[in-house]
Amino acid sequence: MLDKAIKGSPQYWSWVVFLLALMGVGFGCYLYQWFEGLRITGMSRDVSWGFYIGQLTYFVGVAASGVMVVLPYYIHDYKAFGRITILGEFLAVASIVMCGLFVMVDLGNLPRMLNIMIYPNPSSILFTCSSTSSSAGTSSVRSERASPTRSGSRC
Amino acid sequence: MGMDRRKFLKIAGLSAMMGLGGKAAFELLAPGELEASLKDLPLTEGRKWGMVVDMTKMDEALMDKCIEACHRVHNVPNLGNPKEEIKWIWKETYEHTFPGQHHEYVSEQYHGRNFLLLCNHCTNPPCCRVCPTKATWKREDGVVMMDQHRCIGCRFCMAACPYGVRSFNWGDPRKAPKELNPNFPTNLEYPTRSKGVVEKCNFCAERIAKGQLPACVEAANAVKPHALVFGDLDDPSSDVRKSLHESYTIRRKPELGSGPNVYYII
Repeated sequence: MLDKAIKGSPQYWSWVVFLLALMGVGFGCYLYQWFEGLRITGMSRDVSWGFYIGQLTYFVGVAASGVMVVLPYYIHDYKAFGRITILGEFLAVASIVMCGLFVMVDLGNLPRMLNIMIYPNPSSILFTCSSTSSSAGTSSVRSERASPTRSGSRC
Repeated sequence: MGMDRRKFLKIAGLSAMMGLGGKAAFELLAPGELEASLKDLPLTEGRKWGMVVDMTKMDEALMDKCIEACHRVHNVPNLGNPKEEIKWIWKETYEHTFPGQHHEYVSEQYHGRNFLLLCNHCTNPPCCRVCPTKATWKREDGVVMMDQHRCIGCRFCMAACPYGVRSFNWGDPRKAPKELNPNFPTNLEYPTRSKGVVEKCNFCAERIAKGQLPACVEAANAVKPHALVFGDLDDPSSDVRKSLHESYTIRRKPELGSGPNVYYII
């Protein structure tokens, strides 16, 4: 199914190039933050979490809704929802990736991120978040893998 | 990809276990290395360090002296921007210090008056509960300690602390403006911090380990004896316990259950 992504009209490709350029701008901004620190975000002592964490919670919601749309097809075998299954799954996976990235850019010390697993603290909600989101990501990927055989004819 | 559901679940379960038991795996491969860095920190004699701030003996100048002494000893730079400010010990008005105690008829003696604030080294510290990497933890001697080499800069502890005692290095403290910090770093025996980590008052753990008093207490007592009293709350004959026995004291937001260990005589 992913082969669809590398075939398309010039319009499609210009859209892809535009999105890649946007990603490049974002990456450049992250490099600026990498060297300057989180001070460039405008956050402060009193506003210690800002849009980064706001976006994380937003995309968690989007991912959950994407999975919810998929569930009637898989669990209740409700065929009418099969058409939207692929869209829901891709949306969920993309949102989970966005969640992870938003947490990462919000960290003051990204290279030490694995400390969450090396020194786990189960009483921390951030630990619970990271483990649940990674398992949610895994389950979305799982359904992703299972779907082509059943819904491949439609896409 | 030839993988059935059963095999997939097996692999997923195994990887989840590896993820959750990551520390155990590290311990197997490289025993003792993880905790080695912690063993170097000397523990102190106390069981529950605490402080009494006698506001009847404090004035603005003395509070400034305490702040200056603390920030000099711990290389806390003046960044010249209140949004990025790093404070280990600072002044705050009565209304902000004891929000639950304030009312409109409060005596002029307290209204708008500044109080000296620092980490309360809580008995049940919420910051340690939320830290995802155990970079901040409660030591056996009562100090809420912070490991800036482990901190990932998620700022969860700042959100959790009800007293606002934690500061984040939004920029690089070593690049603090030279004109505001002519002699930075002011104390070569204490490390400076990198950007992207949280820091806070450590009750001068490095000083009390050597039998000295915290820098703020030393600075205050040089001018007015017993303006700040530091000692072991677990020891009935200690100075703090005597001070608590003699005077009526209040604490900041005790109703939250965090068990603050800094007491105020007001």
